[in-house]
Amino acid sequence: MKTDSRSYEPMRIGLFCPTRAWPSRPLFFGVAALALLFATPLWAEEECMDCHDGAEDEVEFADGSKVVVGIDAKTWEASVHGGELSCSDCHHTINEYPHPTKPSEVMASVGDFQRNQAETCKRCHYAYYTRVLDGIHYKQHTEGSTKAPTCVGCHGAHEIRSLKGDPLEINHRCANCHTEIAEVYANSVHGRALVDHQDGDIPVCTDCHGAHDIADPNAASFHAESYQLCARCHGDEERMEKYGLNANVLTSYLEDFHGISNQLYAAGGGEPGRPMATCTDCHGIHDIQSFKNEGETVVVKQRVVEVCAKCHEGATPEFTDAWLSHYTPTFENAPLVWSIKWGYRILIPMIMLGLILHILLHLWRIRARR
Amino acid sequence: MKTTAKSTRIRKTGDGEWQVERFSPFRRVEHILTILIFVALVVTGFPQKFYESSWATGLIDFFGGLDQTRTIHRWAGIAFALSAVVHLGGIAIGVATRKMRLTLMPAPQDLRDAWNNLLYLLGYRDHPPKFPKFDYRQKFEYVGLILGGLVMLVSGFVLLFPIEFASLAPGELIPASRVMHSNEAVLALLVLVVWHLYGSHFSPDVFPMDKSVFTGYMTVKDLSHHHKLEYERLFPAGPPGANGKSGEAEALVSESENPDDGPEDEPFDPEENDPGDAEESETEQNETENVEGEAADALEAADALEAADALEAADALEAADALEAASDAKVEPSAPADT
Repeated sequence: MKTDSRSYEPMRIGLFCPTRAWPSRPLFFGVAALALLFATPLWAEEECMDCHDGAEDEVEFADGSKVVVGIDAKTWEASVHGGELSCSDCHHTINEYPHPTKPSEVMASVGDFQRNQAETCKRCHYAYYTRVLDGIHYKQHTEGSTKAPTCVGCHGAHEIRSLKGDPLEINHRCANCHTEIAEVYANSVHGRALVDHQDGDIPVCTDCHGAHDIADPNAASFHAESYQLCARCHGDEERMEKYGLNANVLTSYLEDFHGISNQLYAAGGGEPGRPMATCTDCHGIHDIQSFKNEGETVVVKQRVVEVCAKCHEGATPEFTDAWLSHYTPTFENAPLVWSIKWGYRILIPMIMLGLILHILLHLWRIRARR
Repeated sequence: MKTTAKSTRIRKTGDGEWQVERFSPFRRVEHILTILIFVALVVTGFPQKFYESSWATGLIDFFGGLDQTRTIHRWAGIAFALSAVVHLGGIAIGVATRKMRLTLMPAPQDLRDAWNNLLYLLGYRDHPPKFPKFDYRQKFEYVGLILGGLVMLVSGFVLLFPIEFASLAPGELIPASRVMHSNEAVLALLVLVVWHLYGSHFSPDVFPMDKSVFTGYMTVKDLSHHHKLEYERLFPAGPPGANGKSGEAEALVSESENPDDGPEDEPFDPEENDPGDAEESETEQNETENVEGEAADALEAADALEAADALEAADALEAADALEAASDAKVEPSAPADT
């Protein structure tokens, strides 16, 4: 509107300008006071709530799925959009009474309806919407699923809310469908710790799987790159120190053959022909347990043998010694590896220094004789 | 596989220069194959070591992915193993049948040469020592290749068959092999880049390139300059062509299975021109001896079982001769005792 900022002056709204003394100020506050007195929620103007507040009627879609058309006005008001949006902002095809076209008349299922409603969310939440397009739930929709959640599936429709900062609630929402996994998780080292630590240190569903762009966990690339998920916390020295955990777990894995392989796959080294062991293969996925608490080394050993044998047919307890555990090789815990490492660390510079000196001497001699 | 020629070939090039055969055709092919295998192993191996570098990912991408890169690396490793078996097997047969002079075998004399050459480089000597067919620098590199190659092969096979090796040896051997494989590779590449490229390309002695390992031949002039002992062994009576005595006039027909490399390629046996030694009975047609000429080698041979300090198929029969000569040299006090 304004093209030249130098000529800018505050806009004055004649009568209602609150900065003007008379008659503007009394008029402004008067109107404001009146407005407050008779203030009614936006939806009231649309009169939707006359019918829909607390209604128990159901509408049936073509495939037989049903949805209750009633909402609780108080719940709606308490939601993040309550008082901000009007009913027809989202239900924009239903802007008259009697309703011109009901969704149940043009759509096959509740799932279709909800997916269609996501287009409404898109108008404001575009970034999240596009992320969802990369996620597995959207993919399931494109493959014909009507049960995979859309926006409202997780955030709620009329009780809509952000789930940020509420780890327990996040898990709870996922558990609506992923019940079994939620139970397994609850008994894992993370699930048990979550009871006492809800400050964001303990990973919940979305910390590993993502919230909107949820990746397919069965993809080979998800497995190969999953170490990066664990790395976010277990590579963080400060956080690990807080819980008395070994901060070396990530680097020791990444320097191992399997870790190097998965790093290279993640960096563009193609699809792994066969899966390479990563954190979850030894420690579990949702049932992650600490090896520390196992106590008996024999039990741990047996577990590692089983894990190795998944890929290395015929793995023996001796074979598992190849894995030096999550500790830097020292003279005490891996004398052979340590000696070879240090042997080369000394040998290589010495040999190279000798050879280079010899070459320089040779060049010097040739020059001196010239 | 190996030529069984008893003698060293010499030839005269178009511009009248005399050349001595330094590498048999088999060795030349072996060298080229080693280059190819080495390059293949380096370009597929180093991205796995320096996995965090962007060039590593670029190279892996070039080979079509990590799995493909590893497949190439493993097959190149197997090719390297085969070439090692052929090489070492050839030496074993050559030594067993006494048909090979191990010209690349390090000997105590090499330490003395190295010391004397160091004094020369530092200016305490006016002349470098007289070097045999391969000097200590070349022997160092060759032995480095053999030992380093064995380290790479053994550790590589441990990594290729971890389960099998863990059933024979402690499991710690596997990460140890990985550390070894990775470090030895760095050492090998550094030595190659620094030492071999200098010795064969950038050294002012040979710049821009010492082609002898590809052509197989070295000029007699270069030989007398850099490998005086070998020169003296081959031409005790002076350079070929100079007096007509040791040159083409009396050259023997080679026993080599290989046809001549060129029209002017002539097999040449220096010992043939020396005053012969009637003491040795010729048991085979291709056995000719010269106790005096071989005495130096022979004495060395006597004190350490390395009758021969070389591994050249073309010179095969001389090891046997040298041993015999050694005994002769002992009873013959007039034999030259040292270089």
